[in-house]
Amino acid sequence: MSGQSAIDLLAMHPALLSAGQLETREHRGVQATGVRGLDRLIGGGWPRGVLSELTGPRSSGRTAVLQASLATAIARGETVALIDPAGAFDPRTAVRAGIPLERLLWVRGGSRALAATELLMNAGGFGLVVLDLDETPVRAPTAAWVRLKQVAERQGTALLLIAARRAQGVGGGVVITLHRSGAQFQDTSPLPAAPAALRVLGTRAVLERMRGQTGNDNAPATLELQHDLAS
Amino acid sequence: MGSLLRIACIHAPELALQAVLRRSPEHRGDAVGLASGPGGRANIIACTQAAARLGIRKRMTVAQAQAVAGPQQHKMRVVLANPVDTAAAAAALADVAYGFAPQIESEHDGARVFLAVHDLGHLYPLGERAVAQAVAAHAERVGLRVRVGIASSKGAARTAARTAGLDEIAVIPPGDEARFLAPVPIRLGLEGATMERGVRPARTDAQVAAVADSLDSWGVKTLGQLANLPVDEATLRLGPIGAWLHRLGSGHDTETFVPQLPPSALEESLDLDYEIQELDPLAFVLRGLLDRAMARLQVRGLACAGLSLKLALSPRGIDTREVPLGAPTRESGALLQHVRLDLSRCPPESPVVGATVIMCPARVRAAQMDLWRPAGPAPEKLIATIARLQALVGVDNVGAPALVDTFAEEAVAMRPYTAAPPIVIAPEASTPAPTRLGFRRFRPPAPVDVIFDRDGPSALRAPALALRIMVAAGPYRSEGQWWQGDGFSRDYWDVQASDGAVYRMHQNRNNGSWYLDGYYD
Repeated sequence: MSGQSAIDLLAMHPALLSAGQLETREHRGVQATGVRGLDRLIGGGWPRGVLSELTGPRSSGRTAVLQASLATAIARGETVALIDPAGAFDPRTAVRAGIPLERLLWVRGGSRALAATELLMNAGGFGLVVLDLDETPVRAPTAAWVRLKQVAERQGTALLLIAARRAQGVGGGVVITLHRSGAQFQDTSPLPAAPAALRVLGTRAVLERMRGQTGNDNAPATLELQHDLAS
Repeated sequence: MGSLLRIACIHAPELALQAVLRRSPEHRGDAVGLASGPGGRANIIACTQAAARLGIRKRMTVAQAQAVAGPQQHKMRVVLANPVDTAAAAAALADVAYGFAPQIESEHDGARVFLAVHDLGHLYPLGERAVAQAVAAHAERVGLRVRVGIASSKGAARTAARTAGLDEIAVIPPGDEARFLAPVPIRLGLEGATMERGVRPARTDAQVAAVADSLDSWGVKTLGQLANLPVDEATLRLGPIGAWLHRLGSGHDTETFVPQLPPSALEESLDLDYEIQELDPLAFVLRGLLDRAMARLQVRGLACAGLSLKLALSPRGIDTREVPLGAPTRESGALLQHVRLDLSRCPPESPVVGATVIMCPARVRAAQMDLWRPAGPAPEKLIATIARLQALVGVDNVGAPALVDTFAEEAVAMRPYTAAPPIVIAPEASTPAPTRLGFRRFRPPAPVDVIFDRDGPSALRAPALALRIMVAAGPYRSEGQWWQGDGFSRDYWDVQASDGAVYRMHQNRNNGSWYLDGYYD
């Protein structure tokens, strides 16, 4: 293949990378999740410059991972943002998870969540941007996801999409599925009439995809999410 | 460039016409004649080169100009001189000068500006011509075409600017004033005579014209010819003007440079011939004002730290408003977003027939970046982005979350988000902590029907949800706000439902209704 035709090919297929770009991409680093087992599973954290996904049913621990990731990124001095179409963010549990609220840019995106995410990321300088779709139905063309992926790559931002199920198929980053593994309730007082309280939620993280590879040999990570009884 | 005083004169010829074209840049290449007033009897006081090619000249009446243009009359556009535009253009010219010097002097209704340039050598090592070129380029950025003259005295600089050649720049080397000014016509040199301030009272145009006529009748046509005459004789016959003109021609004029400080605010105004009722056309008009004002700030290396808007309303009244800005910005797009948001929140009560934008300039300080921490978004860009996000999803939906001092656990507030300085990581923050359970809240809480047996809730049903309750923990009573009259009393339950999720719900003890607050996650 001549040099000219190689350039043409790259221009026609933006998903293709030159060897130089590949090296840059590998060295962009990761944004730690703050959950030790999960960090081990995905090689240190959410990769920068790509779109990663965290999926799972209700009470599978997505919010816990989301809050831990935001808290860790802020502690490292990163600028972070949460796009939250449903407005489901709970500041009380976020504070207990270690998030300084004044350092979190919270966007209740409504129906314009994807547009808001793209606009935000185009500003550049964000270390971690979380698009928390949860169960919000989003009907977006593939082109919208591709644009998000490209802007994440251009800005070097770790973009994390949280949803009940896979919301897009453009790939590129880590895909984690969380599975519930049970809840533990515990009596809070020796008195027989005292109410029980939720103590622990167990969850299992399965790595579905990482950096374009599927079917890896990593064992699922088992996570234990503790309930702060002060709530 | 040494320590010798060197003065630059920036001259904007036909400032009134340039002011109109600055407001409507789409007509720059058109044949435009500037009329002194409405009607066919008004005089053309300035015209563009395209108009001159049609045969239109100054001092023609509008009717004469239209007759001269003949069949090409449709190409000609006659516009009225607007003092508001002219004042804004003069202020813009002053801003160009303030971009190079902290103090300037303005004359001839703002069409000429003087500034000292002898200390710019370290910024422009290529010389004074480079300074003049930079000044002209800055003027172009605010929509003005200027001529620049640099000399060792004010009068020589003024005359140099007036006689500048094709490149509109004239630099008189130190000590070379007399040679440079020798061929300059007397009438051209006299242009500054009515402007002289400080030393003697200003002369009238009639006095100046009389002197010019006298010299003309004597056969003295140029400054050089006058400079060759004995100064005493010239003063005796022509009075103080003659002495002044002789000094100018000899290269020894002593006009004083009277510096002025920059104004504390910057204004751009626009009078409309029509009424605007809708937000979009008003935003279109304001965009031009903001662009022009921001261009003026940018040539001074400043940002906008405060924005006020004055809207002239029809039939009478003025709507004055302060547009809140998060931080100084240099993006007119971001300012427009803020203005649009403000106008959409609180629209003007009547149609708008004029607008004034007032910007408070501020110097943006460079921030010292941390070597070991990631660089966040640029503050200006962040502000612009937040403004755009607010326009996209609503003002109340963008910001930093904040806790509310209440027992109602669903309460949350939104505070303005500002890029805070990097936080210091405490040593213990790097040690791994147990992962805290999160909570995902339904806003507002979803009403549900709950079947309650003697052990507690046993099933719940909502429009899209019908679940058995496997484990229930509670009740946890919460009461508050009773001292304010809008009190609540609730019994909270944490329940694990048959779908495997752990929900939090509560019963309103005042009316017995149940609500699903969200689920642990």
